[in-house]
Amino acid sequence: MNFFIVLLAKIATALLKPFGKGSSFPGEFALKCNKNIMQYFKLPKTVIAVTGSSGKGSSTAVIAQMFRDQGYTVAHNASGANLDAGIVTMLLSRSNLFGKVKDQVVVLEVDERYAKLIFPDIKPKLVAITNLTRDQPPRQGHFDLVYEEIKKALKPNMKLILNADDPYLQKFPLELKNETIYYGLEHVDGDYEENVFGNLNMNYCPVCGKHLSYHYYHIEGNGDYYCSGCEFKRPTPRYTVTGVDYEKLSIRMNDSDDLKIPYGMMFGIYNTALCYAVASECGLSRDGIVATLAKEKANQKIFYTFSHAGRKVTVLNNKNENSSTFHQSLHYIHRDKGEKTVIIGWKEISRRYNFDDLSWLYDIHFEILNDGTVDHFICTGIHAYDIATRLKLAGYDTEKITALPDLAEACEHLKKKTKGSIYAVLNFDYVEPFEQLMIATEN
Amino acid sequence: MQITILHMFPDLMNLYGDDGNVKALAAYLRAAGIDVCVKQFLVEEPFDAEGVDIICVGSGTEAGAKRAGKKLAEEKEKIDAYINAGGFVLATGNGFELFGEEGSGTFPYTGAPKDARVVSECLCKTELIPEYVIGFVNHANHVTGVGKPFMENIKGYGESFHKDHFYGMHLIGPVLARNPAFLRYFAKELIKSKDASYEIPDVDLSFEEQAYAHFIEKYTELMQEG
Ligand SMILES: [Zn+2]
Repeated sequence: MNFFIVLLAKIATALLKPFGKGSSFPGEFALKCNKNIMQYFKLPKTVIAVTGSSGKGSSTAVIAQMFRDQGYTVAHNASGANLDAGIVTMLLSRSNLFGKVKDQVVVLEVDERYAKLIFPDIKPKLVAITNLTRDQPPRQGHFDLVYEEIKKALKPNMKLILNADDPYLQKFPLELKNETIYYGLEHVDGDYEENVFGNLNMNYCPVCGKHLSYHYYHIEGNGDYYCSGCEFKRPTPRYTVTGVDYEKLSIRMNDSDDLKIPYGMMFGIYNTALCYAVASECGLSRDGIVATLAKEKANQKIFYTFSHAGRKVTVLNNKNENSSTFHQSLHYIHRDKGEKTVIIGWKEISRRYNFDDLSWLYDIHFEILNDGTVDHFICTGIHAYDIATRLKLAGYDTEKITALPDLAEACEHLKKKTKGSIYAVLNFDYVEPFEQLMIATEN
Repeated sequence: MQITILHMFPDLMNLYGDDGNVKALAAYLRAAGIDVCVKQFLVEEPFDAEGVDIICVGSGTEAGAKRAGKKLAEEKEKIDAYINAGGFVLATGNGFELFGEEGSGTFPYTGAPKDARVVSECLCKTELIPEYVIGFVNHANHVTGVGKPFMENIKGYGESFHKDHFYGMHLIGPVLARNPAFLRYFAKELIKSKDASYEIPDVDLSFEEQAYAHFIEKYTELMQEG
């Protein structure tokens, strides 16, 4: 019977091909025919899954490329279809009529809430969890709920790869017996000793409940934490970033390999370290890993710079309803001590609600830019006045804040009435319109 | 005049931008010429109401709320005394449940988990002000025993409880920042409780008011379109 499902689904895939490859229809169809269809795929020995709140898409793309560059064939859900149907669709397209996947390696980006539907059948040998941050609260609730969902997916024989610097992820080794390998950052440039973010996810020791202490922080709750009441502390990583060079966009791994990073933002550095750790655990050659990273281009959807009338413009793409992506951008801007103007906005938050949730806007610690170097803030888009309110409450002089809901007007104001480098802190839906408005009128 | 805000459990019960209320209230009071002192009450410390005029507490995870509730149960006498003496409380999200039977037990309401998490946009009507209160809820428990809610849901879900100077509601996060009329009302009640003769100057809330007006305008349109 499963032979026929695979056959039918493959026919459906072939028929649907002209209609765009993002479709998860063949997988949906196959799951409808047999909800256990995933069990019947014959997978290669190396199956890697990456899940977590952010960074899983870009990390799996890099990991897949590392394998390809070293001569392996790879099955990878590159289209970002990371739910069960998307993964079944991808496996169907990479398997023969008996469901045998023809590639040597499978690299999967897996949605954090769907992992429990996917891991039991696909049985990844390696599971890397990028981070569990405040992400889409209306959909996800909060990080504890996401943690429980991922935990349900993990079986004892899956090796975990975790960020050692995030105390929250220590819940996994504390509650599970899985073999766990860590990556992390040592004391590097830009670290700070007192917490500057108002909303860390874990402030209390998960073992004894005492307030956690830190020798230093990298960003948000990532840093060298320990508990003064018990033995709990940051584990020593096998893969340690021992230096960061923001000028050269490179990080030093284990005091030996220099790895190129696509941009100097903290979660990007963590993702590169994660990719290095995964590839190394799979036995890929170190030289090859370094070579793949060296040719990776910065994803212009995330980070993009250009020049306008002699001013440097840096576009930083953020995910609405996710304060961590904004924190990474603000942390990045904060390193620039020169005069600057910051434009912040988005077209919409979600199409789910009329009265959008704006609580996450108050989870973003805009206060960290309050060092006197911001000439002006321009708030734009549907929530221009909400953003302006938030900035006012972060202690900025209202004279420095302009709210212009219309993006074109906001860009005009930006060009004519402001000074310094330009940082555009945008949701993805404003990235292209912003660039067009800034570039189109340049001449 | 000086007003002391006690931010209760800022690093345990601040899941949905709830500290926005502390920021909005402090900024308003300062603009009204009042000295503001913001103190923190952490879960590992004893509760001290000395000199406190208002307590603000926000949302937490279920585990966070459990720990916070246990703490308030231990401090029940002092919490009851503070509230009975007319102390102000603004409790948002599941933070408002901490004063019911799962926490200090000051009020006779109780929360129990629902089948699914309660997540919705909200438009509320309250007898305290003519304007609607807008916001969002995201919580696990359904609360019973609150009687007639002071935030009546025109749209959305969630419970609320108001008695004397206690204002508890499931609405999360920056309720005061997003609802300038409610902020003015709330701050006025707080100021008048300290000095009924205090002349409150006109405080500029133009960003807040435009944000609020923009919402009401846009969504009235949307709702008429169906
Ligand atoms: Zn401890």
